Amino acid sequence: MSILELKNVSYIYKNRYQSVTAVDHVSYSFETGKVYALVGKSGSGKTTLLSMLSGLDLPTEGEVLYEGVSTEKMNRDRYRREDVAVIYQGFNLFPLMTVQENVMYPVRLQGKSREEAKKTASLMLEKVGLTPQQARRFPSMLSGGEQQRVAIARALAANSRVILADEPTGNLDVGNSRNIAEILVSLAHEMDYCVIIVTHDLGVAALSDVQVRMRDGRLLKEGEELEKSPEKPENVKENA
Amino acid sequence: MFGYSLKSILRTPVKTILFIILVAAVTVFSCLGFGMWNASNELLLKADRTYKTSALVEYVDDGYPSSTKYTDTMLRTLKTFDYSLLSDQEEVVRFDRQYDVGGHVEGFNMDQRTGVFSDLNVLVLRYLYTTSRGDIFSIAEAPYLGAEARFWSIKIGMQVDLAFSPDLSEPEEGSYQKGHYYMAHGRFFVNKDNTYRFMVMTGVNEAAPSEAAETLRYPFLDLGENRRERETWPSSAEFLLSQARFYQLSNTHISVHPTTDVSLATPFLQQETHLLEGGRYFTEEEYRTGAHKIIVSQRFASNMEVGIGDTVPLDLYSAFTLAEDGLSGTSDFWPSKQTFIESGDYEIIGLFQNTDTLLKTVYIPLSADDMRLMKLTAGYQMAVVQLKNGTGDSYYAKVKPGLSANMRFTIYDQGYAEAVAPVLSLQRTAVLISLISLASALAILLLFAYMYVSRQRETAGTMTALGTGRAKTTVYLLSCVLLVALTAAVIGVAIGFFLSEQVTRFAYERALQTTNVDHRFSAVYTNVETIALETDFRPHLAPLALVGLSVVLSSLLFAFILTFDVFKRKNGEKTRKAGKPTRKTAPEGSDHRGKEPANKVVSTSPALVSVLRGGARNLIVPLVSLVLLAFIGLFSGEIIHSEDQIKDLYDNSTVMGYYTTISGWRIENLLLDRETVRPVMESGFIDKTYKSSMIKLESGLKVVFTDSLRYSPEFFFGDEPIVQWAPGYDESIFQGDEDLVLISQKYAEENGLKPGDDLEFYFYMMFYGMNQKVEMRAKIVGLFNGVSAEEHVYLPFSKSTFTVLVPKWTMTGIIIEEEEEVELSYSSLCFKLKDLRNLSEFKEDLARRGYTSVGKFDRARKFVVIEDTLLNSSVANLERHISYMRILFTVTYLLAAVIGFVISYLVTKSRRKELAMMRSMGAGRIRTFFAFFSEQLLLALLGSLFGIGLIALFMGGVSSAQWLYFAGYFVSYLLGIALSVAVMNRVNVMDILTKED
Repeated sequence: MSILELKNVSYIYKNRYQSVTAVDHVSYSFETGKVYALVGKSGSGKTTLLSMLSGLDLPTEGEVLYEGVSTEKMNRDRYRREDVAVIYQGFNLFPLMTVQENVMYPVRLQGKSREEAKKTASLMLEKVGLTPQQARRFPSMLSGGEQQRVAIARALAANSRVILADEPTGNLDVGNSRNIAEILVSLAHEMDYCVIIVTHDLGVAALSDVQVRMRDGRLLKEGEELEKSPEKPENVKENA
Repeated sequence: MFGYSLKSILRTPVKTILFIILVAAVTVFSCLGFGMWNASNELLLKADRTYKTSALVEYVDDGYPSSTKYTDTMLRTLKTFDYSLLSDQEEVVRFDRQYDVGGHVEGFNMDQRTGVFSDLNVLVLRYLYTTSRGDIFSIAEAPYLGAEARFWSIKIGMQVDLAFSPDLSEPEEGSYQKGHYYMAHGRFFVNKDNTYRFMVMTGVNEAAPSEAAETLRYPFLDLGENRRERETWPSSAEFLLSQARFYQLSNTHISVHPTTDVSLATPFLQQETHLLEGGRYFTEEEYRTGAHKIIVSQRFASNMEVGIGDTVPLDLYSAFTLAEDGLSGTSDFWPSKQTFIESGDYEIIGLFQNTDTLLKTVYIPLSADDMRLMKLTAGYQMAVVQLKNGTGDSYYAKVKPGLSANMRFTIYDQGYAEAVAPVLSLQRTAVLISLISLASALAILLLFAYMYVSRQRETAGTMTALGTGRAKTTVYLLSCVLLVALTAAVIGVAIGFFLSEQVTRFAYERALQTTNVDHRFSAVYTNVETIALETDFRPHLAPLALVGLSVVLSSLLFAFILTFDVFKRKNGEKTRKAGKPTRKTAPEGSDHRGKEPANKVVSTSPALVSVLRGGARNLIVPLVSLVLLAFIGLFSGEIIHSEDQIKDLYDNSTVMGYYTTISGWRIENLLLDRETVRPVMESGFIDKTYKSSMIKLESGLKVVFTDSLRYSPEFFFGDEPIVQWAPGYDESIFQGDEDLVLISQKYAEENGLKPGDDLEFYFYMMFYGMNQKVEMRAKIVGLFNGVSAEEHVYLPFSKSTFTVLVPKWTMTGIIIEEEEEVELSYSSLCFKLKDLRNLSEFKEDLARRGYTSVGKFDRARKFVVIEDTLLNSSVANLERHISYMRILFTVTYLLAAVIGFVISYLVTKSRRKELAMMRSMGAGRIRTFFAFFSEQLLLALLGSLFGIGLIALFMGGVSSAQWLYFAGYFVSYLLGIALSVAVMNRVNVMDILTKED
C-alpha cells in the first residue's frame, strides 16, 4: 500500500550566482512492507530527495504526500515525530545521553511518560541486539555498528511507519554493514515498515526489494545507466 | 591572492556585512570615547587657562573692616598666626600676604562725590545776634569744611543760624555771649530763604582718641571771648580738632596695598576692575626690589591730574603702634613718627578702571624679604592665595582646622568649579566608554579573526595541499581580514567623526544637569563675576583616524597569530603526537569496561543532561555570570552606600544662613524691616531663626535684644562666651519676656555691678519727627566673658517691642497722642535651614524674591549668605560617584547582553548537531529554543547565585535595591542568550546531519 508519494517533485537550490536543480520532476510511490534502495552518484539528488521525504524541506515544485496528505499542509514537526524516522550515516546520537536515553528521546518527544519511554527503549534495544549493560553506556563507548543499531532502535522507538536511512552503512565495515542492512530489511518485511535506504553500497542495494536509481536529479527508467557514457572526442577514430 | 580574498568576501555577504557592522560599531564607540576624552581634556586645559582661583583669608571681629579700629586679640592672633599653613600647601600657586598700610599723597583730596564725611564740618563760630530766624553766627574759622559745604560755596565770614539735633540739649536761651567764639561739629542745611542753618550733631566715634570719646556727646564748645586764634583755644577744644583732623585725613588718606602679585588682588581677580590700556603690571624685578612704582585708579589720577609716567609723592605709615611685646598696640589712624615707614616718589605705571570702593586704593610692589615688612602688620585682610584651579575644596579642608573662629575664608574661582564639574564628568564617561570599547574590541576582533582565519582552515589546507606556499596562503587569509577591517574602520571613523560632536555635547549637557553644584548664596564660594566657559566639541580627524588604524592593525595582528594555529592542522584534522591516534568510536570488540557503567537514566531533556554532564565547558557561563554579577554587586553596593551617606548628610548636617551687607562684611547693624523679611522666614524652608535688635546708647553701651546669645552677631563667627549665670537662670531667659539682662564681666567691674542688681538705661527713638524717650530697667542675671562684646548687654528679644506715644491728627485738627506698639528692626538675622534636600529650592525662592548674595544687587536689596560649602562639596562628590557608578551599571548591563549573546552563540553553535538532531526527530523550533535557552539559563542562574552569595558574604548582606539591580543584569544577560539561540535555531538540519564536522 502506498504510504509515501512523490508527485512531480522538484527542488532547485538557488543562490546569488547560480541555481541548481537537485531534483527534477520526480514522481514515485513508496509502499509499506518494502525496502527501497535509492542509488545514484554523488550529487544525483538522493539526499535532497530524502530531505523532502522526511519533511525537513518542502519541494520547490510538486508535492510530497504522506498517506495522501501533502507535507506542505501538515505539521511537519509532528510528521517527523510520529510518522517518519531518519537514520544517518554519522549515527547522530546525543553524546551526553546514554544509549537508553537516546532511544527514549523520541518517545518522550511524543509526550509519553518516562516509564513508558523506558519500557519502549528497552524493547527496541533488545530488538536490535543490544544488552542492558550497553544501554547504560554513552554512545562514544560503543562501536560503529553498535551505534548504528542504537540509531535504528531510536527510529523504531518512535513507532513511525516510514524509516529513511541516509547511507546507514557508510561508516561501517562489511560485516556490520550487512548486519544493519538485514535489520532494516527485516523491519520492512516483518513489521511492514516502508524502508527507504540511500546507499552507494551495492551489497545493501542488492538486499532491497526495489532499486530506485537517480541521476542528475531524475529517476532513471529501466535500462538507463547510472552514469552517462562519455562523449567520443572528435579526433578519436573508432576501431574498425 | 588579493582577488581570491575579495571573491571570498563578496560570496559570503551575510558574514561580511555582519562583521563589517560589528567592527565598525567597535570603531565608532572607540572613536566616540576617544573623541569625548580629547574634547574634555582640551576643555579642561582651556578652563585652566581661562580661570583663576584665589582664596581670601580675613580676620573678622567687631571692628571689621575698619582700618582704624583693632583689638589686641586681633593683633595677637595675627602676630602669632603661622602663615605657612596658608602658603605651604600643594594647592598653592602663589601666596600674597596682605598688610594694612596707610598712605598719604600730598595734594590728593577726595571731592564732594567721593569724599568721606563730606557733609560734616568742624567750625569756629562767632555769635552775632538773635533774630526771629534764630541765633545768628558768623563762620570765623573752619578747622574742617566738608566737601558738600565747599560745593555750596560756604566760606569763612558767612552768616548762619544755629540748630541742635534732637538728641542734644540746646543751651539755655540767652546763653550766647556777644564776642564769644564757639566751636561746633555738625552739618549745614539750606533754609527756605537760601540762608544756611548749621545743625550741631555728634561726630564719628573712631575719630577721636579714646579718652576724648566721652566728650563727643556734646560737640559744642564755648571757646571764650576773643578766641579766634588757634593758640588761644582751650585744651578742651582738642577733641573737636581731632575730629576735624580725622575727617581731613580720611579724605586724603589712601589705602596702600603692598603686594607680591597685583593680579591676585581680589578686585582684579573678580573683574571688578581691570588694568587700562597703556599701563602694565609690576615686573618680577620690581617686586623683588620693592621698586618705587605704583598702580592707581583712573579717578585718583584725574584727581591728582597725573598720568602714566608721572610720579606722586607717597608717605607710608603702618596702621598700628605696637607695644613692646609686639602682641598688642593701638590702632593709629593718625600718621606719626612711630608709625612712619618711609616717603618716596612713586612712578605711576598703570591705571585701573574706576570703582567707587577703589578710589583711594593704590598698589605698590613688595617682595618677601623687603625690610619694610618689619614695620607692616596684617589688617583684616590677612592673605590672598592663588590656588590651582579646582583645588579650593581640598585647600579649604586642609587650612580650616588651623584657622581661628574669627578667620573667614572665601574662595573666588570665577566660576571654575561650576564650569568644570560637567567636563570632569564627561571625561570620566569618556574613559569608561573607551575602556568598554577596548574590551569589546578585543573580544569582537578576536572573534572576527577566528571567523576569517581559523574557520578557513579547510580552505587553507586545500590551498597548501595544492602547492600554494604558506606565505601566499597567509596573505590570502590576512587580505580577507584587511579588506573587511579596513572597510569597517573607514565607515566607523566616518560615523564616529560625524557623531562625535553631537554625542559629546549631549553627554556634556546631561552632565551639566547632574553635576552642577548650586553655589548661589554660598559662604565660601562667592564670585562677583563668573566667566562662561566656551565649549567646542568639534572633533579632530587625526586622532580618530588613529583609532581606526589601531582597529585594523589589531585585527591583522590577531589574524596573524591565528594563522599559526591554522597551519598546525592538516586537512582539517589536528595532527596529534605519534602513538596517539584519533579515535571517534571504540574499536570493534573492544571492551572499555573495567567495571560495569553505573549511568542510570537521568533525563531525556538535552538541557538538563548538558548541564549535568557537560563537563568543563559548563564552567564558562557560570564564571562569567559570577564575575559580572560581582561587578554589579560592587557598583550597586557603592551606589547604595553613597546614597546612604547623602541621606545621612542631609539628615544630620546643620546649615546656617545669615543676612549681611552687600559686601558681606557685617552681619549686624543691618536695619532689616521685620515685615519685609517675614515672607522668607515663613517660607517653610527655615527651621529656626535667631534674631537681634540693637540700640546704641549715648554712653556707648550697646543694648542687644536677642533670642539666642550663641547666634548674636558678636559671637556668630567666634566662640560662645563663657557665662556665669545667677542661680535659677540660663540662656532660656532670651526666649522669655522678663526684664532680665546679661552683661559683660568687664562692664560689671567698671560700673560696680553684680548679678541681682538692676541695670537702668534710656534711649531716644524718633517717631513722626518727635524724639521719644524710652526708659528700661532690667535685673542682671549673668556675667559673660567675651572680648569682642564687652560693651554689649543682652536682653530677651521680646523686649525689643515698645509702647510709645505717637502724635495723631484728629478730624478736628487737634493732635492727640495715642499709644502704639513699635518694634525695632532686626539688626541681625540668621537662620537654620529645615530640610537640606530643599536647599536649591530655598535658593530659588530667595532669588525669586530679589535676594542676592554678596557682591550683587537686585530689587530686594537684601543679601544672604548660606554656609553650605562643606555640605555641597560632600554631596557633590557623592553624587558624582553615584553618577559614575550608574554609567558603569548601564555599560555592564549592555556588556551582559553582549557577552550572553556571544557565549551562548558559541556554545550553541558547537552543539548545532544536537539541535539539528532534535529538529530532525520532530522537536519544534520552540522546543529546541527552550532546550538550549533553559540550559544557558540554568548555568547563568547557578553562576548568579554564587555571585550573589559572594557579595552577601563580603558586603554583609544584600539589600532590596540590589536585588533589583541583579534582576536587571539577569534580564540583560538572558536577552543576549535568547537572541543567540533564536539565531542558531535557524539551522539547515539536513546539511548539518549529513556532513562531517
